[in-house]
Amino acid sequence: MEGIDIAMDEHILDRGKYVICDPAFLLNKNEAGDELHQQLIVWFYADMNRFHHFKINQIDIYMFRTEGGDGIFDGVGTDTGTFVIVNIDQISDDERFRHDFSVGKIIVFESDEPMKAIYEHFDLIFSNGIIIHTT
Amino acid sequence: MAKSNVQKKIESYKKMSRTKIIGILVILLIAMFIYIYNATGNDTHNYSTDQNPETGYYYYHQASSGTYYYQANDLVGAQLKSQLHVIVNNGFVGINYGDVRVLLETADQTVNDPSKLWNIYDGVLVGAVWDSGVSWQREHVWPNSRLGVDDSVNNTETSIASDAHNLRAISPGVNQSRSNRFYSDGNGDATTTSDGGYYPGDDHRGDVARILFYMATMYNGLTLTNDKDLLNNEALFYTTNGTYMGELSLLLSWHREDPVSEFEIHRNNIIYATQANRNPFIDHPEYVHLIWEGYSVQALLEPTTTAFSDLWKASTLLWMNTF
Repeated sequence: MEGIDIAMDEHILDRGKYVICDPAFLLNKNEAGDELHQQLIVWFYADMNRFHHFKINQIDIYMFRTEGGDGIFDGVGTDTGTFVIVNIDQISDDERFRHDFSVGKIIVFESDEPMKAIYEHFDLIFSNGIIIHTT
Repeated sequence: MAKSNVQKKIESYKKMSRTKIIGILVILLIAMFIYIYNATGNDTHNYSTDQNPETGYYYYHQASSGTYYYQANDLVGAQLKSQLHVIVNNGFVGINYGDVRVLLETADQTVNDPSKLWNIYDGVLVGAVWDSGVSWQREHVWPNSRLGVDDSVNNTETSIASDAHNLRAISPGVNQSRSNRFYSDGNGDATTTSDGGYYPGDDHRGDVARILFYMATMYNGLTLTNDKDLLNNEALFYTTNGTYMGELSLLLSWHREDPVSEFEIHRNNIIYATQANRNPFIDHPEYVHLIWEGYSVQALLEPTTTAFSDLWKASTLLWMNTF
């Protein structure tokens, strides 16, 4: 699977509707979903303390880990100790993804201002004030 | 000088006596070998000495008067499960999710080296001291998403999700692979399975089975099942309708095939010192047969004379063949 992995401590997200979710819940447990999950594991755990931006074909996947593993943090649950942020429009016809976002947090960025997401001490802080504390 | 007939008879008798003594010693040695061989398990199963060597079922033990499980004596089925529910909840002291990190530093220590933790599924040994989730994280054996909790599981919370019996140290990458999957069939090392499940690995399958049995007993809302539709229904996760784990039939097999270990006994004792409750299925593994497999107490009593009968039978046969 081809793709680009940009590991930093902050990223700029374009306008759009995003879901923050456990990859275990967002990815289908079918062959295609499992293949993508395996690829994310390889890339992410090469440097798991960074805030990753994976570009896979036309899909942007942002991924970060919690401080201590499983949990439900600011209303978002994880069984993998990680979260991904994905633009919902980018995955609408993709069989690798589930389209039930009920357990994720939906965030809509409508402003023309760039939306900065900062990963700091295992917490994710958006420039509009939304925070996911995992510590 | 020619030996008299009497002397010849005496020498012949002495020779026969020596032969018999040697024969008896050989028989005793062989019989001891057979006894030890049977007692420690003699096939591909890794049964303990507390299990029936043919079936793997654990023998029944009465709890002594006044001890932790005394009120469970002679109960079976739903009555036993209900009584164990009372016992493990009585005096239970929950700790918050953050403090579990400290508890696991001791509870999950490997048997031979207290400076190392034995991570679940991959069996990797890592430094025991918490390092913000780099070497190990907290794994919910009964997954977080299947506990019926939907609001918050963080370091300050004390809830079903912070019960230390259900939490194990895990390598971060393995935590990602196992994710929220139910347990499914396999062999060898831990791996995901094509039915959406996860095989925990040969050395960990009994451990996870006993943890899940504990959770289904401690918390009335949790259910063990074989129903794959329920186990795979992710739409119910994080709701009180999605509290299923399994597969139950596999857990029952794994419980026999991967017996209670020294690691689990140590872990149970450490958690008891903090939470003031125990995992009954580590202390009395036979309770599993009584609750989920329909066995009676009588059927699980150890046939105490069997080993000695076998020994006698083997000795007799050898004696007959020798002389």
